[in-house]
Amino acid sequence: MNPLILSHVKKTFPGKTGPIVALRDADFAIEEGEIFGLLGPNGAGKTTIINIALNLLKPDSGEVRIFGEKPSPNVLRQINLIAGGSSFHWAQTPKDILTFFSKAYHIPDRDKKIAEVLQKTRTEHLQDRKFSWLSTGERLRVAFAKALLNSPKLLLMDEPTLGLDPDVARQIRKEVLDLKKSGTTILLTTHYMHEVEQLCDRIGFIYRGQIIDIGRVKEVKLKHFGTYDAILTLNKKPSARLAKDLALTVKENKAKATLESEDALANLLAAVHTAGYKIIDIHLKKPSLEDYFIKITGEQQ
Amino acid sequence: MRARNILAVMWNDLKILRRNQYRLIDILYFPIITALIWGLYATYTKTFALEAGLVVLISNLYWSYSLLCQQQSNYLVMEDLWSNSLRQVLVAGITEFEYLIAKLATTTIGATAVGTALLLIAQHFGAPLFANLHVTLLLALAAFLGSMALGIIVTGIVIAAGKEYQFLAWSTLELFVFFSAPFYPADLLPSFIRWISDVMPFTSLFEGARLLATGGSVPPALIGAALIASGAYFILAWPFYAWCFKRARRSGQLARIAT
Repeated sequence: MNPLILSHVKKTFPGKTGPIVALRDADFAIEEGEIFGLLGPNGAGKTTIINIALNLLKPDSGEVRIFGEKPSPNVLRQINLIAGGSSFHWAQTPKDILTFFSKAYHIPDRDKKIAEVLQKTRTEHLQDRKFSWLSTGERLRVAFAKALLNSPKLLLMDEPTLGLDPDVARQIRKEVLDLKKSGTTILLTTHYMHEVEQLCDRIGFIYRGQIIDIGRVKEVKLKHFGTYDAILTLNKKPSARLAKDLALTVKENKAKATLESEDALANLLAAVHTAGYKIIDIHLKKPSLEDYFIKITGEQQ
Repeated sequence: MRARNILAVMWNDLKILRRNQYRLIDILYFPIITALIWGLYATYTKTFALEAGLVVLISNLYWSYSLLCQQQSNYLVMEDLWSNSLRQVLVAGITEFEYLIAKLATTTIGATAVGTALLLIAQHFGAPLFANLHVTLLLALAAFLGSMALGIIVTGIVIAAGKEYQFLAWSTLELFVFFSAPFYPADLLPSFIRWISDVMPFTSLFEGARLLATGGSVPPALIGAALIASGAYFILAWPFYAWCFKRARRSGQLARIAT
């Protein structure tokens, strides 16, 4: 069963100069056990989707299903949320926060579970410190600990690494991958393209309230760019004939080929090798997800 | 509706109160200082206007108690908004009704403690409240229901309309008290606004409080009217709150305010 399905969800908000369309026709499903990245520029509708899934926002039309059911308190207890800039009451300690949420999530062996998540998120030393005294990274770790309390089957992550230093962000990404290994399905919204490339199995690109692209990261990139460049450094300058046969652009002992698939790269290397050249270095210039993001938003404007 | 969810939110609020002790000062300081000021005033007027002093003292005590109930129930919600933690609470499977009931229950604990302190202070300054304890407590119940109703209504408005409307937490009861004629009969109000005092939850309550202060007997009909008026507000406040939440879910205000 799909952990999350949105079927033709539409949402508009009232605006001073007329209604603002937040979601035009959001229609996608998340597969069990995957990390699904929801990408898009600011105001595209990513957080609106999360809020609708969390029952904080009612769509104008369309349906949302979490594990086949409409979002309800019982369903919400099976999932969890980590949002960038997650906040709790300034006077609470992490231990208070975890105790409260373990009560709210009806966790049976509370003390054991709290000790476990504190240890997992390496926040034991922070447990008695007031929330207002914690750094941004420490606050996110507490939010992470809270999100692990109910061992969620689906975890919604709304720009979790926003404003974190690279070291903490890397640790968080590692923990996200660990969660995935333990079977948790994750919906991740982020602006950081490298994060998506590292973490996500599939992505959905949302622009002005519409999912305009969906698929595996590689597939999506290939679909939009079609080709990539391979630059080979050879032991000598390639002959004119080889350059013509393999459609190479030659500059001294470097040859550049424009390829369409992984197979094409293997064929190129085999052809160069058969022609008696030694390959000293290979450099692949593949488009990044950031190139994709810029291309797509450019095309849509 | 699950009792364990309500108890979880109450546990959380009480824990926050314990860790956030300036709030305890906030709860105790104003009602008790008010009671002491008007208690001393009643002592001063004893020689030349005994009843007037007691009217001001007792009416002020009911006013302070009502203000405490309404404001504390609002502050408990507002602190979740100020700390941007409401979203975390609502997505943990706690319904808006469990949430509100917990806030009112936590307020009740504080209100009971402070109400008892106010009663003792009033007794010390010669207010005849213990002599008519059942009337005193029934009027306190009316004050409790009326002010909690206002607390619920203000919470609903803030959730539906936004944090900009939090000023209502400080100002609503003042307006209600003005129309409820606390220290004087409602007949003294200009005729064109007198009808408003008739539909206020506190008008009969203050009338009863004045009779209590002057040593007269408080007719059961008046106590009944006070309880019915405040009870009606209390009952009607719940569907209003539900409507506000529904509206906020549709308009996006809930997602905005809770985050």
